[in-house]
Amino acid sequence: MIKHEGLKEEFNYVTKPDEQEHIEGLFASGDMLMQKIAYNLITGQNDQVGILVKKALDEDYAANIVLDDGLIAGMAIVGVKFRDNIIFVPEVLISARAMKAGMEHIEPILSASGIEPVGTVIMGTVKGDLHDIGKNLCIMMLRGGGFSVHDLGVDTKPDDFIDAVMEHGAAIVGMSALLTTTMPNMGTTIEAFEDAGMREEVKIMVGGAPVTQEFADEMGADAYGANAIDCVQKAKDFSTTKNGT
Amino acid sequence: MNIRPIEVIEKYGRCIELISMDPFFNEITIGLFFKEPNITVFSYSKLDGVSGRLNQIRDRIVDVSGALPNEANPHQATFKCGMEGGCCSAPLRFALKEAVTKDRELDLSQGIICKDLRSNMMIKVNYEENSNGKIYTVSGDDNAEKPIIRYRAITNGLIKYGGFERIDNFSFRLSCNERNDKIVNLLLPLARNISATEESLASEDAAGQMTTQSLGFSAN
Amino acid sequence: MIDINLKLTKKQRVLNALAGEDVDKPPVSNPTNVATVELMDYVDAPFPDACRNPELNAKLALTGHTELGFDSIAPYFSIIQESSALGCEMQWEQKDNWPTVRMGNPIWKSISDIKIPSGFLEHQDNVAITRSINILKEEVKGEVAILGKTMGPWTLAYHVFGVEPFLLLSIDDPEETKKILRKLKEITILFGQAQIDSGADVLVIPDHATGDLVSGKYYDDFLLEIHQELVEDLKVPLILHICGRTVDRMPSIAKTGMAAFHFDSKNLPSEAMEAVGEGIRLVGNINNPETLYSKTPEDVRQEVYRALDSGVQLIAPECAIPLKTKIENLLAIPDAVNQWVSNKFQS
Repeated sequence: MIKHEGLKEEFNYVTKPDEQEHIEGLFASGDMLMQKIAYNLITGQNDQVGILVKKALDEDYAANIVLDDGLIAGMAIVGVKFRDNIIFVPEVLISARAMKAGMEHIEPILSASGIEPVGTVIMGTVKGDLHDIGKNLCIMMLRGGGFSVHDLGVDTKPDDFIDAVMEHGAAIVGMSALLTTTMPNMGTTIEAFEDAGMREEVKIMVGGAPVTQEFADEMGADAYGANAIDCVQKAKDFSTTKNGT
Repeated sequence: MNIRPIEVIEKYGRCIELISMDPFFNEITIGLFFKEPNITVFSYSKLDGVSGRLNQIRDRIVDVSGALPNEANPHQATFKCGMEGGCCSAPLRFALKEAVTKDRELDLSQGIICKDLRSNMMIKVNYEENSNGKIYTVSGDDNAEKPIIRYRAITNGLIKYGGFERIDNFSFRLSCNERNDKIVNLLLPLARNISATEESLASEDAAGQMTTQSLGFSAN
Repeated sequence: MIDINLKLTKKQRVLNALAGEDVDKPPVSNPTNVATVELMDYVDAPFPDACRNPELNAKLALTGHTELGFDSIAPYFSIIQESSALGCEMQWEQKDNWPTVRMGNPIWKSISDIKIPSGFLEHQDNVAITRSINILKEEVKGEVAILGKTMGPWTLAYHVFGVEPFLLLSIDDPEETKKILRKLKEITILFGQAQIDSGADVLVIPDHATGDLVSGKYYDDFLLEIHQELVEDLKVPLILHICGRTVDRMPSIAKTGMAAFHFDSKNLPSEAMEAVGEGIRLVGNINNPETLYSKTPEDVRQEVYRALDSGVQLIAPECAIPLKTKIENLLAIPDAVNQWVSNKFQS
């Protein structure tokens, strides 16, 4: 249950019943320290998030609990507010930065403890496309979702995606395109994986403003992410199947 | 030629399609205009040799679309129906693109056939004359899991891009009820995958548009 | 008010409309550009050369008056000229696409980096505009309104700092952001004044605090005061341009004191008129990607009528015209205005 006063106010922005249920579930433990972390993440207080996460770890909270109940739970409310135009990109950017501040303490522990990230994702904006805001939001959400993400940046050639998959042992590739003119390069990249004999080794998801489910199907992608939240969900869906781990 | 834009429109009609950069001739812009009964290939460019290039494109349009050249004007063509009411104009954007940007023969020696994109079938479009008129029917070698679905989809694509009249789920005719194997042959590859064709058209249309996305001032 | 008995030049028509004074008919303008691939061939002035060479630039800009019948001409076709002169990394593209700034490699990181380079106004990409305005002024001899354009500080900030870093700064340190905007405003004024000195009758100020990225409150917090100051600093009528859905910020825009706001088709003319009230004139708002680009002259006419029926004072496409727009659709705009006036006042 949500006890933190500030967090209660933030939760008021979640109006869809299924989302309310889901997010309440994320705060089911009622732990005040976790809720403080979530609240500070939502309000973009990256220094506080870093301090509180460290405090939690020093008090022997498990790293994955802090990740799930503090950081991811907070990011869930951020995602809803952004989608519903309550907040805009600047506010999301500071929450993402706060998430990163928390992750700096958590990631080493997860790696050292042998707890594997949920999955490894290669992300990039396709060849010819220089836009990256949407991609960067997805990356931050994915990292918050427990994925290890390698960002190839913008204007990414098909071979760069393939090389990155091989180098990092990734099973998931995420491609973004912000221009209708560059969307076909998603198909080119997927074909490149086929030509390299690697298509069965990866799950490929696509997203970006002009991209649609139908386009994703036509290009041969495995999934379409309609927004940053959806991107994480699709990656998680992959991770629960054979190829996603 | 120093003909002004308002005069071009008066003389040649509405612009059906533009190819913004001719890859084979100094990246000039090629327009295809329509004023019944003629289509006209035109460019505002005044470079030497433009007229010859326009003539070449006109001849290519004739080759790929079954249009009839206007002997009195090397840049014009028409169709047997006289293009009354815009008949036969729907597929011309594809004819122009093929004529300007590609450099290949479209072979009809084996009939109107094409490999399917979504199965291993060979798709065939047969012509016959019956009580419904001059009819084209989509079929194939059935080498697919659900061939009927593919034939229907491809028929829909041909009707969409050709502006043809539907007879039934697998048959159509030209609006002017003439025979024109070339135009059907031109459209068959596009009709195999409407979504991909639509995406390709949208991609072409998006070039040169200034939007918050293309400026990079948008998060999605 | 429309008084069909007035006899106005194109320039007078535009200036009167911007001042809220009587006109013989609503002017047809385009504050953002008129350039198409066909017109480029017609005057042999293709992109990107027409963006960088003043003689080619002037030839292409003039077609808006000579061939399309618009009441104004605008030589600055894109939004990147002064950013190039500042040293931003550029992607010049080709004939059928817009030049852009590579914002992924921004040239500045903080306020201390902001420096107007020596020779800024003499840079090729600024001279392309100022010299073009000289040429056009000679050519049109006061008959046609010449619209200059100078990027507002928000747009400049995106270009020189990168969109993400600048947006982060805006929320991390609003006061520093305001200082940055004030410093960048100096560039807006410098380039704008140079165009006025060259002969521009009006200045367009694109400043992309759009709803795609930031809230309406951002406009109030960061830009309203600066835009009010620009009215004091630049002594010609100013037209503000912000793309996208902007109804939430139009009441504030109406307080800037600018002559007009150039608005996008995502806002209905009627709701835009209501939002600005008597505070500012409106320019717009024919849809580009669908109506102007893909539909017919008749569809263009309908949108012109809708804007005029709502009281929009200057008719224009909503933004820079798609480069492959067909000329017949552009010709339909002044035709539609003439027909509307004829229907309304002469029948």
